[in-house]
Amino acid sequence: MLIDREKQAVDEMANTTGSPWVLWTLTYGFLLLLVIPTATHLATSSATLIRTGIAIPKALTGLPTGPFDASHDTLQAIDAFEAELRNGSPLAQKLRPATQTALFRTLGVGNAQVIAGTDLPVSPRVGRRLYFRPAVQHVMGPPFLSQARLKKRRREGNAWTAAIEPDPRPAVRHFAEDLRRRGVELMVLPIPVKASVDGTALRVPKALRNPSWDPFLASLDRLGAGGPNVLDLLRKRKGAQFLETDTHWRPEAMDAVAQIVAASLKKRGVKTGRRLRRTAPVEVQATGDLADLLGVWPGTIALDTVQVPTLGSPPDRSKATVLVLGDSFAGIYEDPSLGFGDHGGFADALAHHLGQPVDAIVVNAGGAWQTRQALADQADRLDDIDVVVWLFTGRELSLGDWRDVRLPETDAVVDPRWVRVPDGEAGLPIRGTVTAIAPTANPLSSTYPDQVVALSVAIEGVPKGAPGSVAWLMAWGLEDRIQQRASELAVGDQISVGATAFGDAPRAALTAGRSELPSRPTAVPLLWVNQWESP
Amino acid sequence: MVFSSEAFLYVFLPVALLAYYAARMLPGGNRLSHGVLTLFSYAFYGWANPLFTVLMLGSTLVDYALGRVMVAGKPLDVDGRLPTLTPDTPRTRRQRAALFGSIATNLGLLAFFKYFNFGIDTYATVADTTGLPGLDPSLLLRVTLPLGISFYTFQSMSYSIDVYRGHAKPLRSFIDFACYVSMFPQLVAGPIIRFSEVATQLQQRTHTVAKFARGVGFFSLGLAKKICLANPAAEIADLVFDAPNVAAAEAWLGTFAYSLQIYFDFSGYSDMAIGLGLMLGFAFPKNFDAPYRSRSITEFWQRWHISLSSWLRDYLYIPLGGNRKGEARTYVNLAMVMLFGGLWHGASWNFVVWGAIHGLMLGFERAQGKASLYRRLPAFASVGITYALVCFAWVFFRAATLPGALDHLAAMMGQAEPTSAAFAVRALAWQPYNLVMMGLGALIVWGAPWQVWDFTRSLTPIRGAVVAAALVLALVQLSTQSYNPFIYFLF
Repeated sequence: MLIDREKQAVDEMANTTGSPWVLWTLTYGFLLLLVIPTATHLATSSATLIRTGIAIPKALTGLPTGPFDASHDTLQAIDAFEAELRNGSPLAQKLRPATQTALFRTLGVGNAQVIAGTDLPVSPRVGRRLYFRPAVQHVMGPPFLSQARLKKRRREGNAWTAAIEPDPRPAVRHFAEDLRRRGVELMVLPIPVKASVDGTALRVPKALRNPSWDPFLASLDRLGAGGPNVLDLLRKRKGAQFLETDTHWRPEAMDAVAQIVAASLKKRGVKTGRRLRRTAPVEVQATGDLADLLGVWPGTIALDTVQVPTLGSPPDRSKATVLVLGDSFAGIYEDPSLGFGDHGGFADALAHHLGQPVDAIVVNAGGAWQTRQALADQADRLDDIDVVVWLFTGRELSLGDWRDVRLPETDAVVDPRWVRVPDGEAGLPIRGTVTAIAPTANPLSSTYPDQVVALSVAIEGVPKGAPGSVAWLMAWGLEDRIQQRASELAVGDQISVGATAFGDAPRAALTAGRSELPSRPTAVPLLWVNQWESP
Repeated sequence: MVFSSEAFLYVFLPVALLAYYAARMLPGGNRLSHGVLTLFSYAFYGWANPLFTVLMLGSTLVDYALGRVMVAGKPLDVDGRLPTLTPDTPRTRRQRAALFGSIATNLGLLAFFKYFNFGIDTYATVADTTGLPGLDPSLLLRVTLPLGISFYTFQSMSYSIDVYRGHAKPLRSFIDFACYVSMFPQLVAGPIIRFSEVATQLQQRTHTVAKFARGVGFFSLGLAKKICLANPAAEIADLVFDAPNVAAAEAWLGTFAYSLQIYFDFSGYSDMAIGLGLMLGFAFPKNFDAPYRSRSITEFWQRWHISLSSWLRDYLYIPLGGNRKGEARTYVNLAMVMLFGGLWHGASWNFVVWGAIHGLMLGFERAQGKASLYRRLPAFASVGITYALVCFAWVFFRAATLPGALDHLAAMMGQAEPTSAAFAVRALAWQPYNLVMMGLGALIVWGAPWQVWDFTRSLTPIRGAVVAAALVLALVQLSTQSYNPFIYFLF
């Protein structure tokens, strides 16, 4: 029986008019437009697209036996397929920068990751300050310590994604307690984001800060873990403190912070000496991470140019009494993958002002918890340390996962079978089934071009639960924004790799952003995949 | 999967269309094509989470079985189809029980998946303020809301009710029924297609190039609405609503931007759904009819999300007695329907308040009668006032919390003390690109001589070129944007 609305719709559609050639052109044109991108994709790089596509039904086969795990794996496979479809398409690779460049040049339009400041008129090769959108949202958004905000962020975790801990205070407190138990003091240095310090391009008349910023600093002071006020220091300094096209600070801003941190450490009684000698600064020119994320044509945005001071002779870090635990704010100018050379980062600047060597554990994009996890994995680094300086970008306070990572009571005991092997050799053979793998970031939206991912492997032939039955591995997921072998793996895959101790991994891997497995216990030997056997 | 994603546009849709038309060419093509459509619809739904499909299948099985129970023992029609129940005959206990079972199952699913967390949170708030014993959060289940559950449970329920009322024949084929419930064009964000609205088309429908081309027109213009207008508007709305204490001008701009976002987002989705339906041979009814040109809230509800408002009218308001049981009862019924409509959108007090505002306004206008305030005003004034009232209610719809909504309203009245963030909001919100897009949006809402429905009726070469240009523009712009789901996916 037809009712009015259906009859109306059926009659209406039956009355569509148009000359046949218009109707056929629209029909075929539409279908062609939909088919061409995938067809060209298949023609140029069919293997990756097909492989990521096939991974979806493969993951689904686990549904009858373990619905929740299989569902999680399927969603991960879907993510990988969508990322390949979006990033691997040759048409999109041509179209995206062209469109973004046109929008940026004509109307100053950013994208989902980048906000273009309003400081200068947009024209080719003219600098325009770029801001990382999540960082701007952090300073403009709701107080990160408000109960409503914490509750909302806790709820974002559900059956399919692991719940996160949004409150940084318990993590800081526990970390300070664990360090104190080992006779080590903690100094926490949240680094304000660019919008807080160089907000002129956002037309902000005074320091833009999240309403919870000051209460959080006060809580650090109460805990005895507070450091100098970096926001006030940088706001008082003249000129730009941050790179124009990058999220990070300029070398002179980093140096100024290192100087007041050194002064603060001296007051705490840390051993100091004469300033370490520096050579003449090195000029570095590079395109910042924000310009990369914006994805415009090369040459559209002017390069950032900085003078980076370098220590004359690198000090022996094994004799350090201060350990810097930091994210890319500690790694910039030291980690070449960040684009601004390897001339000396925050640890070297601090060493210069302290007159003492300073050790450092740096994990890009890992300020909230991965650096603590990295320290927990190699807690022997704390043996001669008096103070840990933990710095991280301030946006982590609004966006990070502040999961509780406890330092082990004792240092990790390395399974004697998992020995270190000399560079260049295949390493310890690991053969088994992938039981869990952390997701690889989207190459387009990942803040950094490199990322290592964690995976666990059930070793073939070793009974479940027996010592050495599970290997915890790290491997490249993303290198220079290109997905690597580990990003293609799924739970249940059989792998055969050569591995070595993670501590012996290339430096770039040690400082790269990490995608971790929440299930990984601390104080287990962590291995690095240095060779993949061909399937 | 959303329509404005590469996975849908470049893989799912071409493959689904190819498989669908290939199936139609085979013997038994109608049923076979329904099977194909059902399979693709489950894949579409499972893309968000494979486990959600189990829930949908369960709900479908229950309603299909109960539909069969309602006509069990009755002879088949001459064409071999299940019989229609006679509208005037009293229903048996078994039939009433079957209807009750269907409604209880669907509302039960909806209540559990949509309102469990809300109930727990409300209790926790009450416990906090009154000193009642709290709940141990570690022992509580956090329920994940399955995508589009509000839409398909309403559709599924409409089947049982239509069969029970004798408004439609129950389906003999499970595949046909599963196809109706799961059909991907309207599965997760509507329009809500009542069974009686597509019952005939499920048995027989035509596939013509005119229909397909018009479907392309609907889809392309809907996609352009979403990508080119709703997404930029969303950026401004998010910026303003997420920042504390903005200045009055930005608070107004944010509200205006949100009103455009929700309209272009949802009406764009509806256009795309109607377009996809046409490509598959189905004619779905209109869901939007220039709602911001309404001269009263009553008229607004005749033009906004028509499939929901007419569903609520026919399956809730009229069964409650409508306006047939006296003045007082009419107002109570109106209020109940709008409160329910508010809660249907989401489990939060904000939606309750939003529904209550609309309920109050509908009641007020009804009390005014023919001599309504609006009727005496010139068109531009009544349209303006109606739009302002709708925007006032949108603040509750958009804000994350009730206090947040009140803060935003205070900011609109210039009562907020602007923070430094307010200056940044000002700089970022009034960017040339935003102004151009807002202006274009306003022009389309209030100035365009056609709606998509009328524009695609006669596909002249010029209109064909406009459709093609809109599609290309949307696809090009899509390539620069990140994933951006539809608002109504959340309901």
